[in-house]
Amino acid sequence: MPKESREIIITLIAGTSTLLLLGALMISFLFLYRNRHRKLLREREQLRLSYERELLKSQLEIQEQTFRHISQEIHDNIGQVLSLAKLNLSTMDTAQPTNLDQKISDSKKLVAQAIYDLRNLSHGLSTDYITDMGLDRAIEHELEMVRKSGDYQAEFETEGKRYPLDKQRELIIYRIVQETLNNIIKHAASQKIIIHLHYKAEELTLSITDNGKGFDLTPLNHDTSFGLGIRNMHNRARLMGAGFQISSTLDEGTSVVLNVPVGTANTRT
Amino acid sequence: MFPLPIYIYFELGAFIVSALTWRSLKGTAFRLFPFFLFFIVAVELVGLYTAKVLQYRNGWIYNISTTIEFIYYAYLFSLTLRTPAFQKLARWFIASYPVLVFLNLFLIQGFLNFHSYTVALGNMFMVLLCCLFFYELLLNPLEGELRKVPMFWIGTGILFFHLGDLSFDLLFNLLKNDATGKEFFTSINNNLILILYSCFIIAFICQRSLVKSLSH
Repeated sequence: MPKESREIIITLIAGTSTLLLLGALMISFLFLYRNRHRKLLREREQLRLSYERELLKSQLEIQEQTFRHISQEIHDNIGQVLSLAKLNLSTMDTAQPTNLDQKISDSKKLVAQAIYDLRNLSHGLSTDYITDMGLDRAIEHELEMVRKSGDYQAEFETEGKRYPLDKQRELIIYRIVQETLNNIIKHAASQKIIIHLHYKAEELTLSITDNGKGFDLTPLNHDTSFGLGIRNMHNRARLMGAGFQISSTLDEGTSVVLNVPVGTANTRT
Repeated sequence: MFPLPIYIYFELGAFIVSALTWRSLKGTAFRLFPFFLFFIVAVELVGLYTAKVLQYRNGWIYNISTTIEFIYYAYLFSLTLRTPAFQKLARWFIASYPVLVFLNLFLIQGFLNFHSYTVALGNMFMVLLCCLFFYELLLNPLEGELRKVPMFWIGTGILFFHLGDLSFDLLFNLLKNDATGKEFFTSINNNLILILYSCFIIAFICQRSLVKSLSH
């Protein structure tokens, strides 16, 4: 084969191979890029679905807690007041007018009290009241119920200019507050609870502190069945992109801190 | 003339598959494919008969067929590209390419010779249109799986075929008197034809599955 011809053939083969290789690289890149993008979209969708699932779970838990509270209130409070009113009415004696006036007046007061309590309870019949009244008032309301028990000194502090978060986030934060308060009541044996809400431009920081007996956090890292409530809270915080820290010292108390980033989605929907 | 080269069977196969899947191609950008492939098979047979049996020069036949081929592919891209500027580019090519081929044949290479200059230009344009199509695919990741997109296969076939042909067309003047070089090119070209028409066959099958899945 003449030298010139050989060179041409080599050029032809090299040129064709290079161009075909470029084409193959282009197609491979397209495949890889699209696959990665699709994977990313799938992950995002999965995260969105688990967020929605968690939200629904939170709503159901709040509802369940509310029903429990209503049933307790009806039994312990309204029921007692109405029973007392009934007793008053059934022991009325028309022959003694002075006593009668007193009993009518007492019954009126008792019925008014029952109406007032019922109205208060009706606010709690749906989870919407939490989002309607806003996070601050919902937490204050929750603390009010804790205070009512008479066993705790509960304080609520806010700092910074208040801004609303989206409803879903407020609901999840509220649920975390509720869960933490439940844990304190059940396990902490504390006298004092302080909830602090700090509205910063870039994030909202919530801290819940008690002066109870504290507990050892080490099993959280090893035993998956330990601290399911805490894991649940941590999971919820992660789903809304928030930071969740818990610290505890034996005989000094426990502190839960939640850092919720304030992004573009912080408007009420 | 017989036995026929293997690539003609692939072209024939692509035509048959396109005819069999005609229902799913109807009403889409690929509706003219069966006619186009019939034309390609006919050209190949006539070209072969002219050269092998009649012993005449067949360059003019391929001058016509390659021009129609480029125009048809550009037409396909003009229908499938989404960006108006890219569509305009494809349409501009459709309108100007035959004029350029005519000018080349009339003024430069002659009617009986193969129009390698305009074929090289056509190849470059096809590669460009394929790149634009893949660029759009890159920007629209919401579409289904890539391997199920018919135009992806058609684009892949066209890209490989024209990329492979490009170096030959650019070296055509050096190669035309070199028998070994021509032989090499023919073997490369024949393999590229197999890739091109295999991709078309896959595209038609994908289109059929797509239409089937949409109708269910």
